[in-house]
Amino acid sequence: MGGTSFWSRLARDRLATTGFAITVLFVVIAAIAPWIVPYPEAAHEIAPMNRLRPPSEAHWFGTDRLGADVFSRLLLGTRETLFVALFGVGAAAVIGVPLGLIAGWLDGWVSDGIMRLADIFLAIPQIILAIAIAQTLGPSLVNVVLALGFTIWPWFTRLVFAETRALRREPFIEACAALGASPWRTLALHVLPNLASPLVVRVTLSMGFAVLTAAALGFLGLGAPAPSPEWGRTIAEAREYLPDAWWYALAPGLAIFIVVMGFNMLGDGLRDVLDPKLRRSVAASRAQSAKVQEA
Amino acid sequence: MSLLEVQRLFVRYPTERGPAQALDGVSLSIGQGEVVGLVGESGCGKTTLAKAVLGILGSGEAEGVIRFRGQDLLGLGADAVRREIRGRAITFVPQDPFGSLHPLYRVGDQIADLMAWKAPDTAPPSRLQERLALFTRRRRPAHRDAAIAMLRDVQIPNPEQALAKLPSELSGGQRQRLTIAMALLPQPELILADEPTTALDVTIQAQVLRLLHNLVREKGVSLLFTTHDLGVASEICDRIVVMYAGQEAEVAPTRSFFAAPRHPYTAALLQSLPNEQGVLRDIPGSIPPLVNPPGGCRFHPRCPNASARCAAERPPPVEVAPGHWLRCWHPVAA
Amino acid sequence: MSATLLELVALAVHFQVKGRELRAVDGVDLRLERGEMLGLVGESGCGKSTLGKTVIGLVRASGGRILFDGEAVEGLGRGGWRKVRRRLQYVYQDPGASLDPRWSVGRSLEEPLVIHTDLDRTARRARVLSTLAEVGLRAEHAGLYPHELSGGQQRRVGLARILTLQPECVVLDEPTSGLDVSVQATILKLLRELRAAHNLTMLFISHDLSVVRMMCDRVAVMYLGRIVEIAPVRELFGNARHPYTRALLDAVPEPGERRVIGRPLLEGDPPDPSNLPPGCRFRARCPVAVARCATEDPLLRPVGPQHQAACHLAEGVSA
Ligand SMILES: Nc1ncnc2c1ncn2[C@@H]1O[C@H](COP(=O)(O)OP(=O)(O)OP(=O)(O)O)[C@@H](O)[C@H]1O
Ligand SMILES: Nc1ncnc2c1ncn2[C@@H]1O[C@H](COP(=O)(O)OP(=O)(O)OP(=O)(O)O)[C@@H](O)[C@H]1O
Ligand code: SF4
Ligand code: SF4
Ligand SMILES: [Mg+2]
Ligand SMILES: [Mg+2]
Repeated sequence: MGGTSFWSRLARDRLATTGFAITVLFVVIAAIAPWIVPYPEAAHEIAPMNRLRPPSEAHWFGTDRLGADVFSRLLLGTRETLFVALFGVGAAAVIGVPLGLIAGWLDGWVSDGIMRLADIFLAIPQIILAIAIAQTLGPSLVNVVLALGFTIWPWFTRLVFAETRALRREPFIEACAALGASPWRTLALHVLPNLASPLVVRVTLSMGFAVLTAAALGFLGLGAPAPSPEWGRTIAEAREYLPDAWWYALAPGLAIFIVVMGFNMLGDGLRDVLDPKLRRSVAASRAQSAKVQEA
Repeated sequence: MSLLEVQRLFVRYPTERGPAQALDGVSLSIGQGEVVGLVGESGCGKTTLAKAVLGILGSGEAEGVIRFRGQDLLGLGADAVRREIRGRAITFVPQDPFGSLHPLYRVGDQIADLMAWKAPDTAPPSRLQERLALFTRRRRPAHRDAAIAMLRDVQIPNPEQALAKLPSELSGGQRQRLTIAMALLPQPELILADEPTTALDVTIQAQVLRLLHNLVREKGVSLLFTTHDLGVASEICDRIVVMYAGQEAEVAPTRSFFAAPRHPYTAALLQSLPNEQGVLRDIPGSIPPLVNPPGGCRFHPRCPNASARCAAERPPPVEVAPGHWLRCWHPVAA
Repeated sequence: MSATLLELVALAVHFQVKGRELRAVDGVDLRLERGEMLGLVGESGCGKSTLGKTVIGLVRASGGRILFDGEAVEGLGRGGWRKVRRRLQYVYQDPGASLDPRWSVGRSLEEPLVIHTDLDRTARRARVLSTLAEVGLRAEHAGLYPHELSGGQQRRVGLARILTLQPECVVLDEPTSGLDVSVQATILKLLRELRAAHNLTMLFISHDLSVVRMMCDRVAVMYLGRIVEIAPVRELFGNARHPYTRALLDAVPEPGERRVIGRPLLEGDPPDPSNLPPGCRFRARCPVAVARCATEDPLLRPVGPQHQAACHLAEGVSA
């Protein structure tokens, strides 16, 4: 699996390329937002005389109820969104992947217990679960991260469980036991690396979900408190001024839409590029090289 | 006249590294009622040859002459071959009996569908009929009786019951016998069997070999039998064709093939077989790449008899004894 | 040091399949002498691989005992097992699939040394290179991935992987199935050399009788989880006593002859292993079965010097 062929295959997939471009742009903006925004003070200062101005040359997306530049706040909001998505999905993976590995590797009640727990979490509508957890923990960005982690982990567990079960029967995993490798060694060095592609896909798709959920939590006032430029809470603020100050709600709405789409398109593209084709090309080249014979 | 005549057939598959010359000017003929064995190492093009005759090469491009009953199949066009010849006059027994049987349909239904389209007494379907295939049913009760008779012929116990089973409910040997039955049902003139016994145990293989042998004798069908097992080839073949890197190296009646091989490759192949003396001789080197193969005789990098001429010029086929053809500049002594 | 390196006593392996018990290995007694190569033949699904995997502890035995060098392995803890594993190795039926597709050959070969020895990196590398040379591969093959190797090369890597640990006893599961005859000859030659160089004891699982005949000292014939006949190679091929062995021998095609299709054949298929009939398990296909066979399960018993068979008529069916 040469890197070049991966990138070239990704490049050939138009949706994936678009998703990739959006994602990169999003991350770059989040990284340098404080230095590029037109009105860096927009995050905390208020300018009452400038309230609710429609889009203009000076304020591309107009101003908000406190007179701050909506565009600047939008860009600054990328940081919170990225933070929440990254750490939320990270927390989910940290919880979900080891549980999935254990459940997939072992038989019996431990495995059953883990999977039933995952099923219970999955049976509750995700957004309601996230709201309930965030509500319990209280409004803060860190709690949104935790809420996301506890909401998303069963997806990882399910995925890792299924893949581990399948891999466990592969001769090369069985052969590790024959050589005397311990289960931990086998899981860490052989099983986990072979899960990399489906995990990357799952992480990317979960990021989209995390952005959406974080926005919903922000909208409900369960995210970071007041001056935060977080997109969901911005929409909530803008609600009162609709439909007159349409730009106020539209800008963060569009931003959420684009970023979520970006992650989903990238995830779908990665799934196509990484997963089936990788397997097919390895199998095909194995068959091919079986015929190339002794060098 | 031969039933099937393949002349200077080339098949190229496009690959990332350039076109792979899977068949490299192979010639071959099969007479009426004859069993011809096609042997050779993995990758030499045995399956490709069978697929070329059936017109199912996929991405491969064929060039040359394939004459069946005097009619050029490559000139006839893939569509006409598909409707009039493939599955009717020429049938195929695949290596993997699972691959060709639908796992979710009962054996009886699969046979009935086959008979509906390919039975000897049905006309080839028109295009419209093919389009409407999902809606029309051309099954006839007579077909069921024919199917049961055929299953009995291939010694599937309890044929009525077998019709109601799924392929996965049959044993490996029974599945392979079923694919043979399905290849026989349209009453073809030629059967192409691609390693039909490779996946089977020796005792089951023996059953299948005897079955094929008897059926071919009784029904006067011709058989092209692909295998890499020389023992199996010697059981049922009248003539054996050894292929090396996409071309026939030696063609001989079975008896002289084993008793007096003349091509250095055939001789080396026979020597590498397990023998009672327990002496192991392999063929040094490896089979040539199909993209940019060596020039001259394809076997020259591995051949003990090779000369400068072998590296430069391709040996043409020469008849060294009646029915015994050879492509070699320096054959081994008879 | 006793002459027997590996001994199986009434070994049984049962699987639960759809609520029914499948006796993949059903009471096997077998001894492997030091330095010997024992062939294990039988039809697909008769339990050869399961037996091999049970010996090295990959499959748990349901009953019976395994003695390695006089010591029962069941009672061993993890540490004890590891010591045995080092001396007792298994070569997979499909070595291509038994290598991690993401690991280079070199790394896969180094792994057993990491697990079992305290050699440092350089010493491990050196051992890997010398083992590669021993199986006829070059140093640059260490950098390749499994899918970049041919079938024959993959088998060599499979052999190299177990040789790095310098074991005493090796279970070879169908080491040449699916290979062309010329490549098969190369691998068999290599096996002979390795066996001589390391004084290996080998259990050679195969369904190819002509290969077993050429390679092994003794042959055990398995049918549906049982050993039905065991004898030195010459004796087994010349004087088989069990009807199944004889049918098996009769069904092997011989290049240059037409010996199979003219003969009376073994009819039918093996019965479902999870639903065995009472009496002799070969009865449904046996051409010489008598009434007694339906009720009484024949046990493996001596029928000649070093020759055992499990058939009521073993004396009668001598050639
Ligand atoms: N669709 C394809 N694209 C590219 N190369 C192909 C394709 N099909 C076959 N080949 C190559 O053509 C050559 C001949 O293949 P073929 O399947 O005819 O060999 P074979 O003699 O049937 O081998 P085997 O004994 O392994 O079945 C092989 O080297 C194979 O890799
Ligand atoms: N883990 C398992 N669970 C259930 N059944 C199994 C398992 N492993 C093997 N079996 C069954 O046990 C029987 C023996 O299998 P085994 O793989 O040992 O046969 P084999 O003699 O090696 O066959 P082959 O020649 O096809 O490799 C088969 O019927 C198989 O389906
Ligand atoms: S032509 Fe030359 S290289 Fe080819 S097989 Fe004959 S002697 Fe060998
Ligand atoms: S015991 Fe009876 S049925 Fe079994 S092999 Fe011997 S003769 Fe045949
Ligand atoms: Mg083929
Ligand atoms: Mg096996």
